[in-house]
Amino acid sequence: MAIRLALLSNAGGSGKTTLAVHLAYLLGNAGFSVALVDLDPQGSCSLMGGLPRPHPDQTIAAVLQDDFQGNWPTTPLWSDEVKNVVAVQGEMGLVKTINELVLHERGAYLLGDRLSDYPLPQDILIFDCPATLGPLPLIALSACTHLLVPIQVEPKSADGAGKLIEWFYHNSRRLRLKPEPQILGFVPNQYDKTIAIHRNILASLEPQLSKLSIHCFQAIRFSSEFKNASALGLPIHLYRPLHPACKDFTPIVTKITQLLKKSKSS
Amino acid sequence: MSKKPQIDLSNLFSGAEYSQEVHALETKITELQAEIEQLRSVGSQQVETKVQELRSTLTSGGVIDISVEQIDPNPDQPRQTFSPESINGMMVSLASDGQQEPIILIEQPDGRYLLFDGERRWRAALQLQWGTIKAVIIPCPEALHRRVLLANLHRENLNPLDMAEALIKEIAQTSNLNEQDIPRILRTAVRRLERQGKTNQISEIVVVSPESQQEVLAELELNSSEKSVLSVLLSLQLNPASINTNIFPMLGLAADLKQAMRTQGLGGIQAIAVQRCNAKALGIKEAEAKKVRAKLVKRILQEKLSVAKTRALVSSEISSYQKEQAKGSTPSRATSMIRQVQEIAIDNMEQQELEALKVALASKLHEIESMLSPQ
Ligand SMILES: Nc1ncnc2c1ncn2[C@@H]1O[C@H](COP(=O)(O)OP(=O)(O)O)[C@@H](O)[C@H]1O
Ligand SMILES: [Mg+2]
Repeated sequence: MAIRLALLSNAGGSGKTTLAVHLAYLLGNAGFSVALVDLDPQGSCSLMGGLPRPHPDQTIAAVLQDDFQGNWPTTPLWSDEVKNVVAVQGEMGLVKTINELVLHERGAYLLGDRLSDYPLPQDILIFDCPATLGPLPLIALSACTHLLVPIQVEPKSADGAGKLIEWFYHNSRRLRLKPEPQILGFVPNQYDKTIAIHRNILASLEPQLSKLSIHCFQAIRFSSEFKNASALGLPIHLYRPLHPACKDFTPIVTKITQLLKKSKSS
Repeated sequence: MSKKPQIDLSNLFSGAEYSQEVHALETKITELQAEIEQLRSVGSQQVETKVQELRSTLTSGGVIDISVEQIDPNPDQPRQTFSPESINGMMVSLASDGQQEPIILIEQPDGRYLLFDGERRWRAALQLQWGTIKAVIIPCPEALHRRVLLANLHRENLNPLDMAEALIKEIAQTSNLNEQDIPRILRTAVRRLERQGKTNQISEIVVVSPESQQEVLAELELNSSEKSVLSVLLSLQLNPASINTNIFPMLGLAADLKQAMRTQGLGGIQAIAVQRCNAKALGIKEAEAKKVRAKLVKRILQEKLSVAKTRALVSSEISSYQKEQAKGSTPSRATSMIRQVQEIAIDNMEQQELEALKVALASKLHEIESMLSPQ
């Protein structure tokens, strides 16, 4: 089975979309085929991936409709640079989906159902989720094999992270997920080592996570180039290939690459 | 030199830690359960060791006395037949030595229990007409969730804000009420019960059985939303009146104060006191009021001020701002008049007198308004 990685956090602006888009590019560049699935009604993957707004019936919302017949609406990303990365776009129509999911008898499992009825061929699927832990993150949780949690080094986000872990265990149990998704790790983001409170929080976050046996990846530094790159719909690696922040993603990519190799060989 | 605020995240993660523990425990229980069933189906001798392991795992959740009437044999398990002699043997052993080991039961959402292990002891206990039997429990998922919540709610270091949020979530989940409406529903109910002098009836049922709680609730004049809110709180052994006064008000705190509670350990009652320093009370902009609050919080934490001292500090802060505003005016004449008006004893007045007073006050109010309105 493909690796299905859900990016979740309990706060807006923590870097879910940024991380999703960058991993899609980096894994594609490493030779894997990737589908970036945007479960956020804001559709920010399109923006950060340089795609025009999708036609409403060419989005993930259409996939989640009962009459879906397997024609996944995929659009190539950065096709001049990488050959095997596609997006399944999201948009406002997903708001309606949220209400439908609540009523649907398989609501919480709908994305997983679609993927087992009509599998996507890619090596890895990346689910970008909205910030509120509602029905959409829930379908990502029940469909994913792994979880990655970006977290801003601010007290408020740390609080959200604790709640997210509770949410994770509560729902894994409630939905009886077997096998249970693995938390790949937390990714501190927008980290500025010159700011005392950032150092402070990072230093106390790591032992907290390790007590829970949750891995904490190397932090991704703060750089305004992330915003500049995303305004052009590019990952920072294409916008400023030599920028030091490019290297901050390496441990995550290495980890996922190992998983992909393992799942291919088995 | 002022000390930097220390960040302590451990409080933020204790709930996560607890739910992980419960989760690990549940996974282990489920695995053992499956293994035992598998071993039983092939008639393996190793069943007993696994049952032993399961029993000791479950014992950490406590050995409790369960009414024998509440137990059903497990329909999913192969029917075991016990000869009258073997039941008799067990009866003798139970009667003379007591019950050596707890039986294992699976908790059902309806409050009854299915036998997982110990059918012979249970049958013997029935025949001995024992009222209860010692058991360890495999919790159902709903009960596990409850257990996490309960343990969290009664955790010592849980701050009232987290408690409020957890309760709101729980009530919303079990009742389909909107999260925002819940504090108001509780407030209305508690106020009415207070007016009717019935709050005692509620506090008396905090620790009784759910059935008795329901009986009392049914007799109070509550609408269905109020009833669901109260019964969730009561089922968690919480007093609704005290949740209303001490816990839910935390939800209305300014964001900066919530954060101070969570990350700096500001106490809830202190936070409520500091909350009085809002833009309106101080007559300044909200951004400035926030700075005032930050300054107060810092002092409260550094000097570890008691609730009384905090309140005094806040009052003096507010009055210093109000004096600032009122500079130049001499409020003394108004102050004594206001007091006179406030002290009018209307409790024992006749309808007619009340009407007359109302007319007089209204016309005075009208005069005041026209004096004040800029023309
Ligand atoms: N490491 C970073 N440094 C600076 N800005 C960042 C960084 N990561 C993300 N951002 C910016 O922060 C904002 C929020 O990030 P985004 O990925 O959209 O978060 P989310 O999807 O969790 O809401 C975006 O404008 C993004 O460009
Ligand atoms: Mg996003």
